[in-house]
Amino acid sequence: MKISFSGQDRTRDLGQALRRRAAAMEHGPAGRRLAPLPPEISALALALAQSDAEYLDNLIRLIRYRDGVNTLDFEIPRKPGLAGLIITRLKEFLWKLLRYQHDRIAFRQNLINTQLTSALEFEHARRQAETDDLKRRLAELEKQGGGNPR
Amino acid sequence: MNIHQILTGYADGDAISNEAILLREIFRRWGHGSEIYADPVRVSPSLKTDCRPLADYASGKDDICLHHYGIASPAAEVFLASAARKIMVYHNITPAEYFAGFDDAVAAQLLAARSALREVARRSDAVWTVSEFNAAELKAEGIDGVKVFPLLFSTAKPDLRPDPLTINKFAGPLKNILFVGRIAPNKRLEDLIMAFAWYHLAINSFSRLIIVGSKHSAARYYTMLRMLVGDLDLPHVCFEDFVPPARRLAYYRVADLYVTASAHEGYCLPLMEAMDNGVPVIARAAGGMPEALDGAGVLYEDLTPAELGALFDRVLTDAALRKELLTAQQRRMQRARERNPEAEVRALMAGML
Repeated sequence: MKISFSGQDRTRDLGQALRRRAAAMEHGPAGRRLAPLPPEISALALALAQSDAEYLDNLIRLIRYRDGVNTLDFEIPRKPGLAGLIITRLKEFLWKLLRYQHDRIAFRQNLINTQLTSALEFEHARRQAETDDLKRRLAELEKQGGGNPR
Repeated sequence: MNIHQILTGYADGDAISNEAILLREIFRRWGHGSEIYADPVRVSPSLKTDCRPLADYASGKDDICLHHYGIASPAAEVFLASAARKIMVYHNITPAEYFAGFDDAVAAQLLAARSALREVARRSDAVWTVSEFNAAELKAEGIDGVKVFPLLFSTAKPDLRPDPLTINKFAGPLKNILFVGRIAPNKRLEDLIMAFAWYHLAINSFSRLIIVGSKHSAARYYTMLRMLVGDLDLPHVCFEDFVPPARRLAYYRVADLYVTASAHEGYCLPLMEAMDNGVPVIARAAGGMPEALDGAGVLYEDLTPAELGALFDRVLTDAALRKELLTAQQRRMQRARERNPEAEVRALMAGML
């Protein structure tokens, strides 16, 4: 770690403070700390692709993990003070009240999403099979013709 | 004598295009004919009438031709074929590996630019570059005699007003953390988003990250970032795409903090723009960014996303530290305003004019 403020090296004092703060954040309550996905299904797995084709394969694989609307509860931010408490409680109540309707809509949306994802996968697989077949036939023709026509 | 410039592209808000415009003003003031030539397919619609098609470029032996070099393009070929005396202005070539998997065609263009670099420099009568970082890179390639001409910065035009709709949309109680620049893999926006996620979740949920930059520079990279934002369940990350100058100014006006986690920059003009608008700056100590900050702003190396998130909070909430930062940034901008580009260019071109 290295930090400079206005050209002055502040790693020793501010760096230590940041390290302590970050450690406290990483051990904070569940709703207030980052819980990234496992690396193999994280969006960042896309950065590992070494070609456009590899990227597309990864993308289609990752979309399958994300075609459902997440209906889990989420943290409602709260402003300080009594007004903040009342507004947050109201939002929590409204969320509970509308939960059933929201889940019904999410169910319908998920049906569409999964069908679209499946269509995408089938299309990709079909194109891949066609490409593989063409490559195989081209290799056979090159073999019969005594090498690369180019 | 004409002093023309050849650019790969010509776009609003683009650092290289802005520098070319400033240089053209200087050359015209000296009484020379001076035009900007670019491939019409890479020219912003708003600038179509402000430049000439690359195919129209013609020169004589007494002329001077400047080429702003950063990627392989037909512009480099026109430059090399020119009969004029040649000046290559090197703006840095992004390492191709950043684009592998995100855009194979761009990666190939960057590789081609890198492999042609020595040849383009060898056939140029002079080589300028915009930072010491770039000069060191050229020296490592065996190119000597490079002159450093820091990227020209012009403050916003006095008659430019920040877009009121953007101000209304983003002003308010949320802390605005801003990034301005192309959405490209070398900018490491995933690191910025992860750090913001920590800040937003653990420290201040009344905050948002505003990312202003073209989504089309690397569409697959942009797709990854959108997916990441979904994974982290962060609706407070706003992708604002490429914007005209009035909106760009508005984003700086509503920003509480400017942050870039970019891992590779030749110079990074948005740092100057942020400082010029009185926004505290945090940048990774990479590439030419320490030179652009020149003793101002916050520079960091090797911070975890949580540590970077904690750093956001420190700069946003520590009033004394913030004041000290802003004062140093003002001094930096004062030095930038005191530059005399005309004299610098004349000195660089001594013996050619």
